[in-house]
Amino acid sequence: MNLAFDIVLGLALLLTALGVFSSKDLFRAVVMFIAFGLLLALVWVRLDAPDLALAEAAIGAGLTGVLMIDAVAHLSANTLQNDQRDDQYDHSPKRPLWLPVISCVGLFVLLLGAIRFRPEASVSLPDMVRDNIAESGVEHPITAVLLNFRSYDTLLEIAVLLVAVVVAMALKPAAEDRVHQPPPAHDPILHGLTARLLPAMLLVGMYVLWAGSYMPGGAFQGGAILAAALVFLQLAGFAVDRYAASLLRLGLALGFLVFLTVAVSVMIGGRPFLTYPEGFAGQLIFFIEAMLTLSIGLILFSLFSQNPPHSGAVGHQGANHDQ
Amino acid sequence: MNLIPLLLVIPLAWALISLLLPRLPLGPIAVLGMLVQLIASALLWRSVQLDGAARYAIGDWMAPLGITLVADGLTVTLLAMTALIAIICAVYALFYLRAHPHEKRYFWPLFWFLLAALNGIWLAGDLFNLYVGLELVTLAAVGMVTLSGKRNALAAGLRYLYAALLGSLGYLLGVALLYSAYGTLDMQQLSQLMENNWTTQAALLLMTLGLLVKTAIFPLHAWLPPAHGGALAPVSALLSALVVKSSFYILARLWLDAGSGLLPVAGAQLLGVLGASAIFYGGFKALQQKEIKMLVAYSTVAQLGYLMLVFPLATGTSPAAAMLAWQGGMLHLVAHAFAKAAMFLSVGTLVLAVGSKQISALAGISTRIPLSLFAFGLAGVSLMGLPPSGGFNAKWLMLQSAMTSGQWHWVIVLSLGSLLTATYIFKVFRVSFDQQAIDQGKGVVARAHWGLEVSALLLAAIAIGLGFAAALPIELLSLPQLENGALEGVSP
Repeated sequence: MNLAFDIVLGLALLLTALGVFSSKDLFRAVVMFIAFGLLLALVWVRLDAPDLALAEAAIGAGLTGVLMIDAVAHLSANTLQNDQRDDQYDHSPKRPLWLPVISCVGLFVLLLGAIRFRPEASVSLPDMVRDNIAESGVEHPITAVLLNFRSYDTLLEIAVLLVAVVVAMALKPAAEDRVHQPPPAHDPILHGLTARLLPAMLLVGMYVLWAGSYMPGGAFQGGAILAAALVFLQLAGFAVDRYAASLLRLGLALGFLVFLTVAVSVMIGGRPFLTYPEGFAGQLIFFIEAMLTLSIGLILFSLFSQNPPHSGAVGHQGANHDQ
Repeated sequence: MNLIPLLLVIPLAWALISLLLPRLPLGPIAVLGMLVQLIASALLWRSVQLDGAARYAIGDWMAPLGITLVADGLTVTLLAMTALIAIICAVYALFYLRAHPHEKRYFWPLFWFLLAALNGIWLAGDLFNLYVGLELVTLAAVGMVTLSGKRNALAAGLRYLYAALLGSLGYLLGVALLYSAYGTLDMQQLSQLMENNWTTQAALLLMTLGLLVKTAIFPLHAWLPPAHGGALAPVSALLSALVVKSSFYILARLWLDAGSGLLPVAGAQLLGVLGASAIFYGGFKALQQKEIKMLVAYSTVAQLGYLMLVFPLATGTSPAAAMLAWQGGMLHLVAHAFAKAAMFLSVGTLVLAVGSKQISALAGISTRIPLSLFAFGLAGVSLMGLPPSGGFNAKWLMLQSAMTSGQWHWVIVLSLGSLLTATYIFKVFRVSFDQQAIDQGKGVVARAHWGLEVSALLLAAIAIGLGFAAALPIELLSLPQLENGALEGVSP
């Protein structure tokens, strides 16, 4: 029964992936991509990786989907404005198919051999994590790895997110600065629904964050839920980015700031970088994770809200500045 | 306080300051921060020189559970190089960005994140940590390319992003395979555990392909010239001098340090052939360019090719030849970094002065803006490999290695490559010394700030100076596996 389910799941994954590539209509491709993300989340569940499944569903399918739909809307707005561009899209050059086909077959054979002839690992990290988890300050092994054993990786990953949002802010046309933005459309149903749903969304986000210390969950998943709530608010016409603009920078960087401050201040006691003092690991990890949740939520939301509005003219500013 | 984590904390802290307090004079603050960084790098360099390599367990968790940082001879050389180039680029940017207020706002946070990521890569002893470092480098670099927001900058940046992400995926897939086969991500442990089997070779092949894309080795180089040629001058300098070196560094560590003995001789020769093709293709394309910055960008494509010659020269050859190849290759990396940074900065000044990117616009400027042209020339001397310069010493070591191991075909490649480099460098000089144009009083539109000219000249002088002081870094650049004993030495 499980095998049959896995086979169907695998085939569905392949088919949606093919659908993304073969679809002529961009919007259709994006919808296929979201379906692909949801199926992939199911695959992670089948592989006993519920943390990844949560992240994939929230970020891979959810927020990436929102960003892509937004991008498609921009593209079609521009296309409608300019008939010449329409032609450009239709006559996109046909690339030869043999290169991707050969690469895929080659990669398939390579991976098949690599898995078939894989030696038995002599080191078992899961065992070592289990042996040391009592010292880590949390009960959930994934959180222990992300926030304690390999916290340095996580610190740099937060920096990656921060850089992404800095780049998005830098690309926002300089002249615009919130003056010419049209007020968001007011939709009473969406407005009312969001107002009533918001407490539940925030509660779920906080629960997922809290749960991370003893079961699947944590800052990334909680942050993604927070970001989704903010996107809802923005879409419902609450103009979150305007209220938050002054505090936005601090909010974006807060998680990283707290993480780095903790990492450095422990060195004053003569401990190595990122070593939590004995007995305080649990509290410090939760504190860092709470700040990270806030920042990750704001960062993911900003990637959405930094997009120029759909007026079309702003999107073309680059052309005017061209020399 | 241990210096190793300090080299990560300084750039990360300054990145936060630049991001959160945009109203401060970020340029001077950055130069100050770079000074601290330079001193810390120099102190670490000295301590490794005296006490040998050091390892540092982050979070007090030993590998394989935790992440270990390693500071050996190569690492500290690259750290010092990065700090030195970055501080001069920061001084240059201080003056250069006055004309670019919009770009200035976001240049400094990205600059500091880029430096943190580079330092992180030089120090990393863990394969997955290297992946995170690569991602941070890539995103910061792409951001810097697109800073101006102009259409061609966006197109170049997007192309760069796609290529780099593809490279990252290849690398990550290889890391996952190695982890599943050996259960650890620590490079030192992997070097003892890795066996020559399908899984290892498949993993290393995938990682190599990914890193070749990121290093822009022919024929995977197409993203580099528009990205490096189209960016702001200080950004181009940082990208060509430092960013592309980070992925090559991982490649070299992978095959010659962690996986020494695993690279088949045929594979090493193939990597060499790619390098040779890069040298000739990049050289010819550089010769054909009409825009000066594109000429310098294609020169980077060619010069990166020399780095790939390390693999055939150090694989399946005698220890003496391998050592010469390793030292020559790494010295080339350092010398090219200084020379290319100098070249992009001086070219940036020239473009500002004549108000055009065309090479033809440089006609007759030799008498008008001699300092920048001199810096360009000095950098060119090192790129061509003429004595005395760091480039000459590097090529000389590689030539010696090729002759010791009897690989005469690489001797030919090395010599012809230098000739080709000379051709495109002199192309610029022929135009700028055009007597007719000088007589007509052509040239210079705007006066260049002396700070711009001096910083480029300083970098070029260091590239030349490496020819006299090459013994200093070479002493530290011995093949890592030969000093594995020393690696165990100092721990925190």
